Amino acid sequence: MIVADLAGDALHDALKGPGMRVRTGSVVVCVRSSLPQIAAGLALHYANHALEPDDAFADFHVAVDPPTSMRRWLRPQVQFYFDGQVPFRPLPLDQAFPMLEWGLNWCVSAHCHQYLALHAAVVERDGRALLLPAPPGSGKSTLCAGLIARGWRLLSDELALIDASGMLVPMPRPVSLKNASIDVIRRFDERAMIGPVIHDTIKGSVAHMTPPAESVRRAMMRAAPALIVLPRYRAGAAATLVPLGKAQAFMELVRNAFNYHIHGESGFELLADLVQRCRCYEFEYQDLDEAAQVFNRLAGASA
Amino acid sequence: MPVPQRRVLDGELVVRDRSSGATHLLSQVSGTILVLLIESESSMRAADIAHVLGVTAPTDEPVTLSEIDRILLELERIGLVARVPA
Amino acid sequence: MNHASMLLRAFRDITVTRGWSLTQWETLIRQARRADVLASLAVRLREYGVLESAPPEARAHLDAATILAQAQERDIRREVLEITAAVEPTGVRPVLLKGAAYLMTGLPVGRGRLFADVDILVPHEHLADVEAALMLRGWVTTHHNAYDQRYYRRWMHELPPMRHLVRQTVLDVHHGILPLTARFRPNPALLLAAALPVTDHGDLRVLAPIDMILHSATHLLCNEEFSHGFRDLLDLDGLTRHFSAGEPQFWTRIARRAVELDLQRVWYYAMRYCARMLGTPIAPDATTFLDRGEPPLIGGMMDALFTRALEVDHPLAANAFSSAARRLLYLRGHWLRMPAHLLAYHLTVKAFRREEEEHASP
Repeated sequence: MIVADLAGDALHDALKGPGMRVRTGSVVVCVRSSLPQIAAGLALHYANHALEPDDAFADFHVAVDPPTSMRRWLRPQVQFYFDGQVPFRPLPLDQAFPMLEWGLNWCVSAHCHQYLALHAAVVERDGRALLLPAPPGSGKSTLCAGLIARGWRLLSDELALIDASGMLVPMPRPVSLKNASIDVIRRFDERAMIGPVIHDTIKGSVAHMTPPAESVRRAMMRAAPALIVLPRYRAGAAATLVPLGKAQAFMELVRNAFNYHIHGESGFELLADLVQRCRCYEFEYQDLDEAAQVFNRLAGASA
Repeated sequence: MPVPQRRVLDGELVVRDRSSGATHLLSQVSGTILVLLIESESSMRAADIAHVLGVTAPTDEPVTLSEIDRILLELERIGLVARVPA
Repeated sequence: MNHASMLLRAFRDITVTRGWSLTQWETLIRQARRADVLASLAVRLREYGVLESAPPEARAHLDAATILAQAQERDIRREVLEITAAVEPTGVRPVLLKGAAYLMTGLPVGRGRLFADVDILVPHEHLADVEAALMLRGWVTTHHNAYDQRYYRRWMHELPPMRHLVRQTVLDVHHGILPLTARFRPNPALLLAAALPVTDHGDLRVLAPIDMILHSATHLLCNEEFSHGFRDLLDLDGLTRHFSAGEPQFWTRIARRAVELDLQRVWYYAMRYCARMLGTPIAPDATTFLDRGEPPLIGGMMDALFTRALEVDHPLAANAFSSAARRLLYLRGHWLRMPAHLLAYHLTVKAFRREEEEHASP
């Protein structure tokens, strides 16, 4: 059963009642909410995600609701609840859906230490996975959205999860787009399903793009890493790939890892093994079409 | 002190200090000096290091003693080597 | 104990989990995480050979918690070395308290632990020297508010927590085990006199076993908030089982020491709740020494209050009650050691904020 199979009322009832157990790859989240934006966001962006029954094991129990405290009447707010506790400060009510997405990223990066988690996008083509680590603002999400529009499978737009054997663990969820990249992707891909734009968030204007159904269907297939590319969007830049020394790529991964320190010695070995088996590049681009072509060639050439 | 974790990637050395967890990318020369100290299993004087480098890892421009001193100081600062009394 | 949480049931007898459904396991994982004992649960399951029968979905969380606890263990060991080195010039040999003490002495309750900070006990007359020595090596005081500073230094048994500038770790320097305002006045000099050295760590000391247990009992019952009640109960149960095993004189000795330290009521209640909730084996004559000449102890109501308070505070625990302070302790920023820009990435994660900031803003 998938989320789209739930008729309108049933979806609302589930969210207001026992919660909706949504499978995002290896992680099952039980979501509860009384807010219409959450119901709408789930119906739109998680339509193809598998729905688990109430007696299935949920890894995390979250809720997105107005805070229970007195401030409710001052200015409408929304709170993210992690099993009844409150890890974040509340946000304006219209940021409910982004807050759910940010909250889910936090759940995984703060708890799933069975994996080494990097702040990176991961896409895959022909059995080879491409890792795009980058600090916020480097255009990683735009590039990621552009590549999946051109047929790459989405594993994640934010969290690269590496298991003990060095394989990448998918967790396909809505791709978050910011500011200018929202329109860029709208123009680049007519079929892209982009939700409402929320303004004035801490990250600027934010919208989410539904992940391709095929990516969601293959969410249980781990992928072998083959390419590590550090992207940088630069106005006027022709799409250029420059080989990057593996030691430098390694340090970049360390810098973008959520739980490197926690993994101690084995984290060092795991990341070293990862860069050892990948081809590493720096990449500059402006035009998404050009970028997609470069990557398609790169994927083909990795035989 | 425990021997740091290390890997050579594309000819460069990355090391991890086992007690603090701090991870570093060392330059070619720094990496060579560190590995030299690790493999010698006893302390070495800067002059000896210079000699061994000159013999085993000659470069176009020989590494000066003052540069070796500078590198050793930096390695000490980040906790990868320690000075022992003569 | 009809309304015992899954967590309590599991720790009373871990083998009951063998037949549990996925839903029961899910509840157990949630409650264990809330009580900060998820890694301890993993240790217990492994110890009794039951870990393999845990469903893989649950195993993932147990493994993740174990990895985190192992990282914290490494960090605490390092922290302890740094503290010892910093204090060394003063000639004071600090006494490690609580979790760090359990870890450094290899006690079973030291395994699978999650830490918030390190606690040490030093003589009051050397407090200024110790504080100065720590500041020289990079620790700074917290709670900069003048009122808080005065309050701590006048009434409390510890300095305001100290934070290391570089490592961001927190150190609590105690000169007593209860505030001056408390009903009971255990004499710290007695504790310090009986303290024992830690093997291979010459300058470090820990409380004598019986004092360690009594301190744990004090912590269990005299804390302002019970957010760690369950874990403290587990510690007390573990310590008592460990040190009483094969020691016929144990119960008499600890009762006597409780009187010496003005802690007999604390000890009485602690043992009562341990036995009731976790089934800690207690010698039949354990409390007769205490009952002699003591005023009658308030029975039923105290029992109800405490057994609720000491249970895990989780929405699914039948005895849940709301507590003022909820700390996602294992998520403290300095324990995760995320790079700064990634910490900021997680919006303004309240759990990562420093404790003193939490107290400052509404």
